Amino acid sequence: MLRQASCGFGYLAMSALLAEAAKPLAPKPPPLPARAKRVIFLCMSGGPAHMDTFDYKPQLTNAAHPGSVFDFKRHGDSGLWISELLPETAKHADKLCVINGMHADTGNHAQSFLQLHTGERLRRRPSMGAWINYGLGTENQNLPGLISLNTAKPSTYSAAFLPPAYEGTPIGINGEDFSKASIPNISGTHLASADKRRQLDLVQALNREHAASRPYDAKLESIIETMELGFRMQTIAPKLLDVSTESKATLERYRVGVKQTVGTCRATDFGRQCLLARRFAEAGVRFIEVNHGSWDQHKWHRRDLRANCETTDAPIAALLGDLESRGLLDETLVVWGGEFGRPGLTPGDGKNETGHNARGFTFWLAGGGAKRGHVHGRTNDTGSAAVDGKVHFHDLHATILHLLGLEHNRLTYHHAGRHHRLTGPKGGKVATGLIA
Amino acid sequence: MSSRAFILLLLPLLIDEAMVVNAESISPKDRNFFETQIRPVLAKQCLECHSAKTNNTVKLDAPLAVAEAAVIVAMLRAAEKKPHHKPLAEQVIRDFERWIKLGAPWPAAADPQTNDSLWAFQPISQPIVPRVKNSRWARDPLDWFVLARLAQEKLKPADDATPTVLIRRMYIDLTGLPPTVEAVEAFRKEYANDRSKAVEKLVDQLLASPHFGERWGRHWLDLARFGESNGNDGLGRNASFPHAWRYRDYVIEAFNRDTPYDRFLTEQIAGDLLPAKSEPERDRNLVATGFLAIGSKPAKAMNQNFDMDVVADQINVVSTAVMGLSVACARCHDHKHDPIPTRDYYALAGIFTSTETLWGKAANEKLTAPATALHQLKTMTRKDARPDPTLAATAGVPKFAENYHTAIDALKPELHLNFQSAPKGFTVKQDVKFSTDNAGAFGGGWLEGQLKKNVDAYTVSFWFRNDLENNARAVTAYLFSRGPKGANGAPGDQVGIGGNYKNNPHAGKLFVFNGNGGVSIKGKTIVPPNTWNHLVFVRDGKRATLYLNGNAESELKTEMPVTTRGARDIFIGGRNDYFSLTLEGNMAEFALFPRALDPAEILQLHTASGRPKGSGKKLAPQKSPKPAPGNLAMGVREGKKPADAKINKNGESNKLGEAVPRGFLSATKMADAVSIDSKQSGRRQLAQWLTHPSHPLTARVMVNRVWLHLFGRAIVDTPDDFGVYGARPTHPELLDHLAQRFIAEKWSVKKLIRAIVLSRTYQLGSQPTAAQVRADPDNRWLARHHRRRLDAESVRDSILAASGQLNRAPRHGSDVSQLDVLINWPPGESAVIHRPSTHRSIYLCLLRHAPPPELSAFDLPTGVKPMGQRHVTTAPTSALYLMNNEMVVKQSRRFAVQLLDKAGADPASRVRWAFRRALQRDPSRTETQRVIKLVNTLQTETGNPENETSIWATICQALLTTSEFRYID
Repeated sequence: MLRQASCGFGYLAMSALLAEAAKPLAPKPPPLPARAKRVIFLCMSGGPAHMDTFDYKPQLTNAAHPGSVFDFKRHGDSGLWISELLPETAKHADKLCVINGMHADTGNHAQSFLQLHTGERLRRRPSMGAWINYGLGTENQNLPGLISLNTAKPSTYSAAFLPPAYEGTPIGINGEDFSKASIPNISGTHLASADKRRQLDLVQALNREHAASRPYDAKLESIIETMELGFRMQTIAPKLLDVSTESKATLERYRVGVKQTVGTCRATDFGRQCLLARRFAEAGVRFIEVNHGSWDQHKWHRRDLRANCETTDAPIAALLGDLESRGLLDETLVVWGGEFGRPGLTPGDGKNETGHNARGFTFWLAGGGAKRGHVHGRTNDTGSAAVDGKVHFHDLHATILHLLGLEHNRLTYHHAGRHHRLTGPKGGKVATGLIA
Repeated sequence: MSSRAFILLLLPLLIDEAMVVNAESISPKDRNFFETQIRPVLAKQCLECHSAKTNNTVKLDAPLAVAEAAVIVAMLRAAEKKPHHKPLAEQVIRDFERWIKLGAPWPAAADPQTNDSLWAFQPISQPIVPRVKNSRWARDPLDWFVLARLAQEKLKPADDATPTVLIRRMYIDLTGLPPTVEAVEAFRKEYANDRSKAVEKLVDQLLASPHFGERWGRHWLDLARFGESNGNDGLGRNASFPHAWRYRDYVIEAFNRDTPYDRFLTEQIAGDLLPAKSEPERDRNLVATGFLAIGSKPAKAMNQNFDMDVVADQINVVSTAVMGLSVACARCHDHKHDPIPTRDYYALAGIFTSTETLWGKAANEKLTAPATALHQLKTMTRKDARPDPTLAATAGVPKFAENYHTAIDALKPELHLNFQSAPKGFTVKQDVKFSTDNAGAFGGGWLEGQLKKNVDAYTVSFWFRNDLENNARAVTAYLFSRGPKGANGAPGDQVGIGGNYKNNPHAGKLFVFNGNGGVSIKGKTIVPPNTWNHLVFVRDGKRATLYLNGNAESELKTEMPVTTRGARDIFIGGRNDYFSLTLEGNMAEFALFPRALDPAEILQLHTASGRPKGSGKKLAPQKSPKPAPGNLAMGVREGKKPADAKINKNGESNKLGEAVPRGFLSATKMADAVSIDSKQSGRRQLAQWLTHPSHPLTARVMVNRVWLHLFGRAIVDTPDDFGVYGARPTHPELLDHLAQRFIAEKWSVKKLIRAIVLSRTYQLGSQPTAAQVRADPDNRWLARHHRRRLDAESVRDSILAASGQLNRAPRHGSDVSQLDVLINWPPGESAVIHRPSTHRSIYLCLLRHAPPPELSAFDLPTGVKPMGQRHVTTAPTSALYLMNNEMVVKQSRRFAVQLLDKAGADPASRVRWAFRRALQRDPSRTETQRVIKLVNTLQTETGNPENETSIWATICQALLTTSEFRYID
């Protein structure tokens, strides 16, 4: 019989759900062998120009056609083509798995950005980080499982209809000074920390008596636990957020504190974000999103793209270097990309303006079980459409989940009359060709 | 030919697409089809030879793959030629072919989960109250249903809750507020005398309390997906809804008036179409339709489906909140499980496409939504313009940087007043009070003083807060004036805030005026009432410049004739000619410099304060020239041309199918049909249909919701989903019994609540025995009450009650009632819209995606979708909130100040006082000792007796942080 004996209640059985209600973020073993434990998503919002970063499109005919307008060179043993705008990232060419066959459904920023994060274009759905926390829990119970740095959009961290425990914690707001960004109520100066401990000891003594006189209530027990976690977060999170303990050399490598505003490129202290991403990854946060934008450099393509690259290049390189040297890259999947790409400029025609292109663009992965020094898929000769090894956002999501040991078809949640999954009703395909 | 090969040959002929249908996902329609057309035929005609019990290779007694089923059907066609098969009717064969096309769905035969899957669409039954042995136990018929079920499960109900537990439960459940310790004691006495009289009296008192509506109204607002801004439209814009609060107030009032639930629904769906006996009633009906207009919309930009997105939200809120059904899926396809075809969706859609939705200006941002009209109210104007006196009392000076005062002095002012006491050299006129907490509190009074000498150039810097609505009167306030004392026509320099003079062009904006017959120049920013703002006014000969809130760019810059006539007289909070429109609000850190400060110095006057820059400018509408007038409401009205809606294929508005006559859900079986007049939208009839006594869902869904809020768990555990995938009722007869009573009692919510609260079941204790936990860990059968955590609002309200700061009066308007703006532009600016308030939490400003930080730690709903049951999470963020949140810290201090004032000097009596205040009980001896020990440690540590407030604040905060504080037994 071909009939599937599929689960009627979603990925987590009802009993497990109930047992979990108390500790929704406790780590859960992945159902499949996992290549990665966590994700750092470098979200380049606005649509990075793929043909001037990673998808080299030289002129092939006598008549000029759209393509790359910056110089490209081969890098590393793998010989990956990388643009002159990214000299630091290029040094890590052999770590990258460049996906040149990305495509999405729409060239509208908002909708495509939403689809990139949630799989769905029009409606509010849980972000992939929330799904991943739902599937795996988080490693460090003293910290949130999903942290979105420098964000302007709740879609990057929203749990939508998933239980709110999976809602991410935003730190900082795109467009504001990131060096002051923090977690709500993470510290208070009204009490010395020793007195806070004493105060909590009193609270916990009262809580224990309260719980003891009310046996069989797991929630009351878990509150005592949670109070301790919150207390520990107070010491841990501000320490993690305080990068002043890093060496001067490290801060310089990440370009911490370097802020430039050029056209669409905003001064956001991107270096601090990357450094924090590494620190959160080390601390066991499951999903960290780092935001930079806007790459929507319509009219001043050359100037603004250069600025965006300059701002992000060294910090990303520093992050990749640190993850590798600390032995974290194998278990951390780094994902780079934006909601779509851009049409190429035609060299020599004097134009400096580009639009949006969702039919073909570039993402890259590093670490976490992705092939190293590898190019997956390609676009046509003018870079306008993916033609080979095509990877849709749904496929990217399925692949990311797969690398984490999750099956996108089975990571479902019942809401408003049906089962939902990150890859939507259409579903996605794991891009096995890019897995090491 | 082997049967497998046969299958392969037949596949392309018979199967449109390969489908695998899971037993779980079979739609009721398909299930019904199978059960009536397919299974009987199989049973009658086939199973004799084709079953597991036979040797035949073709077996028809278990689910078949599509391909296999297809073979069978092909065989049926060929069967005529086979002697051992009886020929089948053509219709039967066609049924089988249709079945294959559906994917050969094969529902499980005796699955209790699916057999009664359409229970909620069946008419509400009239269950007979069961008879049980222990008849003295029951107090209300509903108890019999519960007890019968308990007997069936062999469970014994718990003992009654103690009166202390019961009163706290009833206070929180009915009003959202904890009782005072005095109320607890009085109730205990009365309870000991006459239990039933005491409980009844208390219930009636709580039902009559105005706080009842604030509690139960909030439950409804969760369902009505209430929000005071649109929420992120997908393009990062979030437009304020300055008038949404009227709907909030309407809901509170409706619950307090015990508006019958059928009427309540009718007002919200079709209030604009109802006859009204008076203007207040007309206005109330119009405001009620806000229900359909306050939804969160995706951006209009590049969205051809925008109009249908608005309709989708309306269908969703009506179907989810009222019927406990999600109809949303049917926008694109027939509902997979519930019996809701796409046609039904568009039948409903036609009602709303024939309706005009009035959401207002959407911050004049066409990309987020086109501007619409609003309902113009007739009766609410005067009341709205009244300042909120309760806010003035809690103004509180903003927290300035410690060295701010000295930093101002460094610029060598001639005058520098902090208003903590009456300033020397000034005459105080009428009502102005001075204090550390509120600095200068101006209740319409003003100050008169003089410059040292007559100067042409001078600079004034001060912080002000205006508490009057911006459209309350001709000029909202005069802030500063220099000119000859008492001179007619107010010659001189006049700085103030505009009001409704000449139709509002100045309302809320700063202005500089040089006297009657002169010029008046206005600024750009609307200064919201009840906010602290920093103003710098520079006069340098003819040039007059005004800066606001540290923005380098000036608020206004002009050249105007000097009309001071050399006068040295200055006025703070009023005008030199004693004009009546003086400041109602506060002022702090007033400084006057006998020269024009340079731009760097002006900036310094603000940056040294340590306050965020631009707190006024960010609130400025991008393009809006006028503030929102005070007498408008969101809502709906009839569209110009009512018409049926066409099916949008796959939910896309540019792929239209046939038009569907306006109507309702086809799956509900009702006594008499309600039909829609083609000349109307059909909203009235929709309300009529929903509130028809034979509607199977409306009453059931509502009594279930009420039960949920009183027990913490509903009879149908998925209160927003009564469909196939929803839970089944634990007590179906009880549910129907309550629904019937609800209808019979003319849909009175208060009567329903009263009956439930007076029942024995409600009054049980919450502590289970080991046996109960073993037999029924989730307490499905109600042998005890559920222990529950307070919701976000009650946590905050209880903190304010404990600190003695709770302002129990309803609050007028909202923090955004004057702001028709994008609340998050520039990003992060929304944070400053929320203003400190000691009113109940329901009155805080519920901006979507920027909720009040005082509530967000405890599972506040987002207001984007209807939410019948809130999540209850135990996250470290709530621990952090209780440990560090500014509001919690501040209220703990206020709590301590009162304690030191009222509880005497004996530490033990202080502990007792604090426990009684926070937890409504006396501390045990161990608890007292524990607290005193901590107090002693803290005293030794600091060695500073002046720190007594801090020490006791630490204790008070500890009590507010306990689980006991936020749980009810």
